[in-house]
Amino acid sequence: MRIIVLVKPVPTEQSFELDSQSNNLKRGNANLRINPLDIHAIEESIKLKEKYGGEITLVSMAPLNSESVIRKALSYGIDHGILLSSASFSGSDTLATSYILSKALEKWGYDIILTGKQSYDGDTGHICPGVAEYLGIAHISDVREIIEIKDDTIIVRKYFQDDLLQLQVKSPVIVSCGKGLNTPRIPTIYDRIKSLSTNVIIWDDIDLELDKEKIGMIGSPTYVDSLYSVDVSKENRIYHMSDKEGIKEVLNLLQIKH
Amino acid sequence: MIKVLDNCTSCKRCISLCPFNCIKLVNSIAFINDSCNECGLCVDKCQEKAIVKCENKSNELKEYKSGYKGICIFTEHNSFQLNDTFKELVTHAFELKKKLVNRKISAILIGDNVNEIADGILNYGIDEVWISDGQNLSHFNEDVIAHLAAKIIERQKPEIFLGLATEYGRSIFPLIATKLKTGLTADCIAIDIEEESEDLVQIRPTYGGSKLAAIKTKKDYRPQMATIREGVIVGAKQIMNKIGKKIFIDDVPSLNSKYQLIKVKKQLFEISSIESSKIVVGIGMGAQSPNTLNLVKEFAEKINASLGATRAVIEAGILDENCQIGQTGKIINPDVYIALGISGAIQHQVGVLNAKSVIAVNINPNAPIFKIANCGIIGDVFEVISELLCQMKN
Repeated sequence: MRIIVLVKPVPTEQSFELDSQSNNLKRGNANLRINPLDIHAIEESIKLKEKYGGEITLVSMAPLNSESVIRKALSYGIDHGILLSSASFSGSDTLATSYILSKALEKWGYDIILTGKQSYDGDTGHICPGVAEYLGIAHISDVREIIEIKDDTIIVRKYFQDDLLQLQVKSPVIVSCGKGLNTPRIPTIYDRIKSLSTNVIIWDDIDLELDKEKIGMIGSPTYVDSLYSVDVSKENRIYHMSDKEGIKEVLNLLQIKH
Repeated sequence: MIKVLDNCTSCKRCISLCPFNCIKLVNSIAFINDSCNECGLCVDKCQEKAIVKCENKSNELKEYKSGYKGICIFTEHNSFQLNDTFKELVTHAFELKKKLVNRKISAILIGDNVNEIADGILNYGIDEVWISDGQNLSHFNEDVIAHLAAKIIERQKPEIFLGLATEYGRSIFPLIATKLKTGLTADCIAIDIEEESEDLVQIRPTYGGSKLAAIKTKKDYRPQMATIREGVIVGAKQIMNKIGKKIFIDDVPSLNSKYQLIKVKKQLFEISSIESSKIVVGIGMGAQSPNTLNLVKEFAEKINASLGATRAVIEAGILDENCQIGQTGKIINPDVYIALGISGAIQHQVGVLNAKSVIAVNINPNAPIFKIANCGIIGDVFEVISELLCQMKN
């Protein structure tokens, strides 16, 4: 079984909790990590390999400087790694990215594709359905359980509003994985050592024979027109802890609304 | 695109901040390479104002994709009734209509035996409901529904096509947008019409920094598609005089669906307490240590508040996912929101913009949360909550 996992390196400080202390953000590759939800996809792919056999290939569209983050993902027990990288990819929105990924998947071959439900930077969740559409296959966003993979169908569970559905879906499929799906294991020393010699194949726009009108900023229908601050018209009163007024004000606000 | 101006002082602040590592010093000036994602964090934080965002000039030379007029909304339903937030989508459509001249509002309705649902839609004053009714059109047949929706859009040519960013909307809208090869902006917290161009402005937090991004679709791609978060607008009310009409689309050949239903398990999910409570206490990384957390829980119980948290706290496993407040969690509307140890990145701020009052406690005086707080206290969360509990006992 050819199991493919699509992963994306994302900035580490996604919570931006430390944004106001921005001087502490680290340099270099410590800034990037594998998108947390992609790790759930990796875990699911390992479970599938254990059950059905086959090989797992990691595919990532990312700048060349993220190779070390890709290597870290390989240490989970992945057989092959493919990095899709080219200056012409930068500025791609989700339509262009789905196109690029789908061309790589067609070139490599697949029986089932997994990815994280959304990435912690863009958070769109567009890649699973976008790639499905380009490949002409079914997708299941936020799959809750992969029950069985048969010859040309797959049985899965997913939610629709409050109902849990059990569906039989024609293969091959692409599924996206959320937090609740599984608990990722920690890579073994054996897997880590093995991954050091895993070859990472690098493909660019020429290798993939891409239509250059469909990639990068040219191939992206949406663009950021401007950035602006939140408009908040609230009266703003800031106190120091040592100032009793602050505590009094909070109690006032709580009592009035209580 | 992001451009560095001549007044760059090589302070390297942007270099250490860039979440994508794409800035370096070249000839003592900051240089931004192709990996730039236009998140805008460097623009935001440059103290010399030497980094700016420029217009996408190439768009101005383009021609509009012709013949696209009107506002269309997608109907989410479960075969029996409309999604209860559908009325929010109606409000969004009517708000846009105020700024567009002579536009019709239409709804796409696809399903099995949906005539009554169509009546429900018309009760909101929608001008036209485009209906595809058939047996293999249950909600889980996303492939066929997306195929039909795309065909209807190609025929009817609305300039704007909107859906709500429910789990379902987030799954089916990208399918439709990819079929139509058009732009889709996910999870908008607001939409607007730009006056001169009449273009749809799609607003959502940028993922770097503390700003909102105004996103647009290039002129030669239509329709302009967006999914909008639930809870950012008040739902429309039904009207007395139904003026709209139903248009049945029978002639689009359907497909065999790849999806087949085996069984359904109905679950009863309660509305999570943070969505229904009048007072909500939010916990950030500055308040998640065990001692502080226990005190905060005691405080929340005393004031009858529900507990919510930021994404980082949820990721750390401290509270359950359904307590998450923010762009990727819930958008809430309490009377009082108390943010404890939360720095207040934009993704969190948008979760509580509709709260009537915001109280914030943070040890860092520069925390962005203070910008949206009515009342802020600079101090340690444990100390402040202890003092509050102490005062409350009196």
